[in-house]
Amino acid sequence: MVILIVLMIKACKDPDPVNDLNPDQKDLYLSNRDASVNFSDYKTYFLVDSLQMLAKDSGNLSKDYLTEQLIIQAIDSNLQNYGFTKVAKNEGPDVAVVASVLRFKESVPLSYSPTLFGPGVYGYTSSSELGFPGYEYSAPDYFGVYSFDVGSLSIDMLDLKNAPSSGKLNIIWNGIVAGSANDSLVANPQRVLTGINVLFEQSPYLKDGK
Amino acid sequence: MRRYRLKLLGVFVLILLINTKGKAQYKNMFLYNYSAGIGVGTLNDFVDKKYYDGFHIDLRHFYKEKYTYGFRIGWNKAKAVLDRQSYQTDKGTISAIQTRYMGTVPVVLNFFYYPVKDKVVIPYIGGSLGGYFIDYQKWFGSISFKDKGLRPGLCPEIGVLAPVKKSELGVGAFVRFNYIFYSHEEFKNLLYFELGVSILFGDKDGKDKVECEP
Repeated sequence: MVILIVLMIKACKDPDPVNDLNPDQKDLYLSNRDASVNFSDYKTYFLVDSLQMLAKDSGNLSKDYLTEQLIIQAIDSNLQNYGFTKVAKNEGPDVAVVASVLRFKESVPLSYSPTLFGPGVYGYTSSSELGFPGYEYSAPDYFGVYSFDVGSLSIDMLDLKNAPSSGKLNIIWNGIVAGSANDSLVANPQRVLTGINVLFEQSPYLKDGK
Repeated sequence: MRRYRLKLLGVFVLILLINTKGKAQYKNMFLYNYSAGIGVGTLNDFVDKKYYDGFHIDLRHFYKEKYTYGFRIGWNKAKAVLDRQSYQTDKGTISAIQTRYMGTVPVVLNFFYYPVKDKVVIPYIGGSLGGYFIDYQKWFGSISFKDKGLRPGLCPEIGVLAPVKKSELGVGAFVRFNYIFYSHEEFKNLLYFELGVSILFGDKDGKDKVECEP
């Protein structure tokens, strides 16, 4: 009888329904867009050709440059497949595309508004790198706020075309591959690349407009 | 799979009933139940038509010749893992493998009536009333959305008991229908059937024994 009761109590303990999933099965691909934007108005892009390393503390992040190239190439080819034309920064691109690795040593809320990625997080490309020194970044309020304690890759599309009139660098599209990146990105390059492709697949409006 | 398990339950009950015959004069009864739960409506969809299995401990006391009161505690739970797909949410589009989990822990008072005394198999009818601890979990990959709390519920039940000859043991079978007042996300209530079997431990001690069979 006692054994039965003990078994029942054990069975009632707090379950972890995802503990038997493989790591790649826990990966999340999140995308969001500025609903007021018609993406067919944007034809050309400037791709920042290095990964930004976002962190709350310094020094412990390292890049694997081979993986970095694979990631940049994957973003590049998806944009071109969707009909965007790549141009240089000084050729007046309609949008800038920035890829960042988010790797924190603690669970950090990812917030796009009102502060990009939350207080104390640094490493994002400066606005002067995009040709708009002093401009602040902005994103719609409804862009997601998430918290991860695992590595993630974030891809942002920033509106350069309307920056002079709005006075801000608005993020009009964002994609996050959550859970598959680590410090060096060495361990899981295929998971990251798969995630990038899914982000574009689930954002057909980038190609079709509206 | 579902049909196979139901058949297995039926065979189990039959085998035990064939070997039972006797006279029960219990004052108290302790039942250990296994039930194959079947979600109704939203719950059935939520757990992707999986069995809502569970175990329960059921204590009953004869306060009159044909009536018992007591309590029951236990759990039922099920998990479903859906293939990766995209979901539109208020935070954008999420592509993820969705894992859904639902668990209920009833802590309920029960009341039963035993209309027939002089049979090998003793039927009963009644039900229970009380609280159900709910554990709702929906995971998108590694991100979870949970809701836990206590909700009221009720549970009509019919069943049979078959005391084993010259022992304090017996077996049983039952059907229960659980109605829980639970509203969250896709749920407007929480409903499930349970088809189950019981192992009975009878307590014949005490002076005011009640005879279920003369």
